[in-house]
Amino acid sequence: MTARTHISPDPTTVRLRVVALAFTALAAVSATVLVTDAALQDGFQIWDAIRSGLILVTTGWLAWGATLALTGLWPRRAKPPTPLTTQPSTAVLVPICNEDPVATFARIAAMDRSIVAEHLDLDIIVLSDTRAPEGQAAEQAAFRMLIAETGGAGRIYYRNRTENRGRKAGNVEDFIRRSGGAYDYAVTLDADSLMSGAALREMIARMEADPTLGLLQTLPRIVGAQSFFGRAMQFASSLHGPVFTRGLERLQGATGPYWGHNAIVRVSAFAASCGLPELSGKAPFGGHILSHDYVEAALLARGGWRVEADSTIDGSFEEGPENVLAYAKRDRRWCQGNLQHVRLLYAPGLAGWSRYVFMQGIFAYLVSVLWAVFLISTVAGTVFAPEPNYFPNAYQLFPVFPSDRTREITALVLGIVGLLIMPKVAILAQAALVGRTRKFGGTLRAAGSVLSEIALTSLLAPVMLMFQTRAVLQVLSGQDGGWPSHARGEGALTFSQALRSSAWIAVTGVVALLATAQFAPALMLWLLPVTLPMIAAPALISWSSQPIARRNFAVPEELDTPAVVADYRAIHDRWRAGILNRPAQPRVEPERQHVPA
Amino acid sequence: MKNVAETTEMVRTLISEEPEGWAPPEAPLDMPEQTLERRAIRLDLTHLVRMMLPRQRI
Repeated sequence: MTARTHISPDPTTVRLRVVALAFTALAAVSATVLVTDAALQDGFQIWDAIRSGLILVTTGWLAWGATLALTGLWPRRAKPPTPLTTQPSTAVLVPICNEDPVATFARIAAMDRSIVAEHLDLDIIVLSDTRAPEGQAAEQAAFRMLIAETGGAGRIYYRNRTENRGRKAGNVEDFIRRSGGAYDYAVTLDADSLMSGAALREMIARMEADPTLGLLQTLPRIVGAQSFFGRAMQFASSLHGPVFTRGLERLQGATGPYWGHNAIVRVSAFAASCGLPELSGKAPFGGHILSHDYVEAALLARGGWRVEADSTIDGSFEEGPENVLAYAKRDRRWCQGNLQHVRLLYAPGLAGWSRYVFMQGIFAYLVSVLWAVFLISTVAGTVFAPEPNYFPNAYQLFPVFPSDRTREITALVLGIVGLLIMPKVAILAQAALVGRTRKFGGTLRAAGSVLSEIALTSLLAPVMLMFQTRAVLQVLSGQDGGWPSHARGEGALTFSQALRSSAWIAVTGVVALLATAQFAPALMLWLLPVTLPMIAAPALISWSSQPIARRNFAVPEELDTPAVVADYRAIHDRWRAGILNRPAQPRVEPERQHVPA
Repeated sequence: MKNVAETTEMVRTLISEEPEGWAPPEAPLDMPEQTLERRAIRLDLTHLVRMMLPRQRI
């Protein structure tokens, strides 16, 4: 169906969008004026034109991120729980492929316990795409443990697909084609997702209360992080995440996001709207749609269904990457998936906001390349700058000195840093004002965590920039990264492990530093915050992957562990102990396997 | 903690021996494939010229 039936945004949403875009444009244009003005002092070159264009786009991007946070600062009125008077038929789907079955099925056992405690009558269905016979055997053994633990025969199911067409989206689609007719709603999860029965009850009730709601996305909180990097990400997702998501909720109206898991869909709407075709041509831009969730949200909206996110639904959890390399590996997949959306920008009948969301996703990765080009053009502009002409007129008595614009450029740098840091500081201040910081160990501890997180992300920013730039260039040059299995639960990295994956960044940093010292020494100091972290990349990656004490980056879920999380850990530990007591069996290496196309 | 052998025996009574029997019941639902790509527009110049100049031998 391609007819344009999507719901138009309400006037408040339109006004907010206009203000947000105006703020973004103002910040971007101001930065561009400063850069162009400084460039004009020694004659305008091609490098200056490139720099002005790049600063317009990159500052606009930063300002847009800040706008999301500012829009979300205003708290929402707390909604009372939606009553659920019916028992609609609901399936909880857990698509897996080469995951650790013990951890995955232990999560399901904990969720089942929580579901039973809420007196919900739900089916849990594991949809496996694992192909390796040893992997399948391990899953079957874990399923038997799950049934024994829960007594869930008849409500917990497991099926392994014989043909892995379409990866995760194809896996869910296959389920809907075969069994979707039996269900009103489907909750989609990832292998590392955890949802409480209360959260599931609220989601079902919300779907029942609004027959136009096609999809409801929750904001999963990261749990279980151990390393410096992982805990910093976990803290940021817990403190900043809800505010950014609230900003997104306000700007998106009925054309909300879908992040592929920890969400509920109306099965009939999903079936009617979200049958994904293969794109013409070869990967990375053709073939299966990789980042299917964004596309499914856009298709639901195209079909006239409301798609909403709600960050206030508690009891939705996931796990995050524990180190920079795992993060970069995931980013490589997402980069290819998002860049593929360039093919869908002109898809017929989509809401304007859906196209804008595709643009944002594409831009999230392109912006790294643009920053890199900006830095290179800055150095090149200095190297190729003409000698200043002190006597531009033939009969001039006194020399004309170029006007010094150091103050303006310093203001620009501070402004850009402000756009990055200001939202986080504003969120901290707002959290302190409304007492939310109490759940993070108090305002002082929360402030310490925010500062540490800013310091870490600032140090890692050039490293991330390099990984993202490489990912974009790989995709643009036609390299298909595939869709390798997740590396969940990966731990600390040694220096040599980090060096193997980041030596190229360190070498690039050394070359950049030497080139700047040789050709543009005036810029050396300005570029040290970029070149030094690049040179130190292996050490930074290894150091930030080491475990740290739980008192650092404290989050509410640790100070008061939710029952479903505690149950998962207890069941997982018990199962692991039981397995360790068994005779040795061949070990499955999930990292070495690859998700078939 | 449950004994492993005891657990295996208990599970046998709950679910079938073969994993094929663990799948959810079938209830097929149609999921039509969506159109996401626009058809390429073919610009037929000769046709356009003929339309602009009717009754001319081109």
